[in-house]
Amino acid sequence: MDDYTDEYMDGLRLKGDPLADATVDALFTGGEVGRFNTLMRWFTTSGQALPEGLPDAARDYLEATTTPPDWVDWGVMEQARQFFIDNNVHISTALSFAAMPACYVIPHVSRLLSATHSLDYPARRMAETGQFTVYLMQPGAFEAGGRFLPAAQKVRLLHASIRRHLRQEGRWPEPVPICQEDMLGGLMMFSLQVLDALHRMGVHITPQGAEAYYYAWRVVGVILGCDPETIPADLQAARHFSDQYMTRHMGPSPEGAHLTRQLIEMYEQVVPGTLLDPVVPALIRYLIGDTPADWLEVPRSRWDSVIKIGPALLGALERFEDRGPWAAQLSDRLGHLVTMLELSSLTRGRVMHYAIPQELRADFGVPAPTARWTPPPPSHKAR
Amino acid sequence: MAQGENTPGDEVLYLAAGVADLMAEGMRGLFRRLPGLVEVRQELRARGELALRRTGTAPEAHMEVLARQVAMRKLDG
Repeated sequence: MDDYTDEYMDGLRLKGDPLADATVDALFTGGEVGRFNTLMRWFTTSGQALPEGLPDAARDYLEATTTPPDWVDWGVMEQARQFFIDNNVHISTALSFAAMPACYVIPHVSRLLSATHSLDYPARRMAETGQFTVYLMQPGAFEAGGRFLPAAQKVRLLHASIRRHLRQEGRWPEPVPICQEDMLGGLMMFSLQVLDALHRMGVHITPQGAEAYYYAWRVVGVILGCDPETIPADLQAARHFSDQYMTRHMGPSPEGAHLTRQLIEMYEQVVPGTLLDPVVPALIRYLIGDTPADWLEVPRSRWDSVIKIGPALLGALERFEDRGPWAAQLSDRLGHLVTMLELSSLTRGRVMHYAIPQELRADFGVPAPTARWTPPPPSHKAR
Repeated sequence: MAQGENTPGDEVLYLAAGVADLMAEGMRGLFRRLPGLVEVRQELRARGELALRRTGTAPEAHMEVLARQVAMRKLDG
């Protein structure tokens, strides 16, 4: 299935996540959200016994979602983990400066982020997304002791609670906020569009690496409540879906421009000094292109043309890595250090808890060299 | 000073001075062969211009292609 017509996509806009939505409704109806959050704060690893005194609805949900889908090929997941380790800095960069702006270029997604007040806390949302990805890529992430599944179980309920709040308060113009089309669209940004960005940065990717990385995100999509039948099966289908989703919705919005400014300012604070400040806008502009960058009001600077040499420098670095294991190890160590610094400066050492918000308060965020892979060309099936 | 009156300390001193002289001569030769700062700057500038011109023809970002489709469609009404 890769014929993503407008009618098909419109159908996905009417669907939420029935299992998580029903759980959250039951928790709110029974007045049990506070108790649930308190008990779940200490539930962080797979295999841990569920806390005593959990509301029934929560217990049923947690038991139903405690294991990954049974069709998962763990060999491919291990390839994906290796791919992530080999490219950790590049993937973090692509997530921050290509995938996040891609979210912001969809006006209703930007409006959702601002409606949930996480607009003013981009660092928190980046930290939650970042920590989520780190949990995912730990060895044994899905086994007893892994932190990924409990985090995903909480994020899914967090999304369901936002659906409920926006619907109840009549603050959403459509029937379903965070609908299946948007969840799949988000999945495309973190998977295929990250690969697009890696390609543009000049990072060498093998076809197996690209497919494995996409496969891992398909598994994540199912765990986060996407309907398995609707997740594009491979990168080619993903190209069709992603292009169709983007061209259906992309455009300028004040909220998108505001979020982008917050993102840029956040990185200016993380990087010491002011000399390198224009690099971040230049990188965003290079990765997403001038038209979307103008929509998001990304400032222009003289760095815009300098940054284009970046891929050549990265190529030189990769050739350096090929000189031997010591060089690769040195480069890996540096990469690991940079990723950890990036993440810890965002989380400031805190652990993200993904609690269900009792109401839409200001203090919560939506998580929201031989064979070389090249992204599939633009989809002709997009309008 | 007669050759035979040398102490071991003098011997070390002469050897060190010899090495230093050899190195200094090597450096002088090296600098004679090196271009001046102005030439280095010109060379780097030319290289930079070429590199930017080379990368200026890189293909568009994928998102840019999609955004132009959307903008064209809006123009068409």
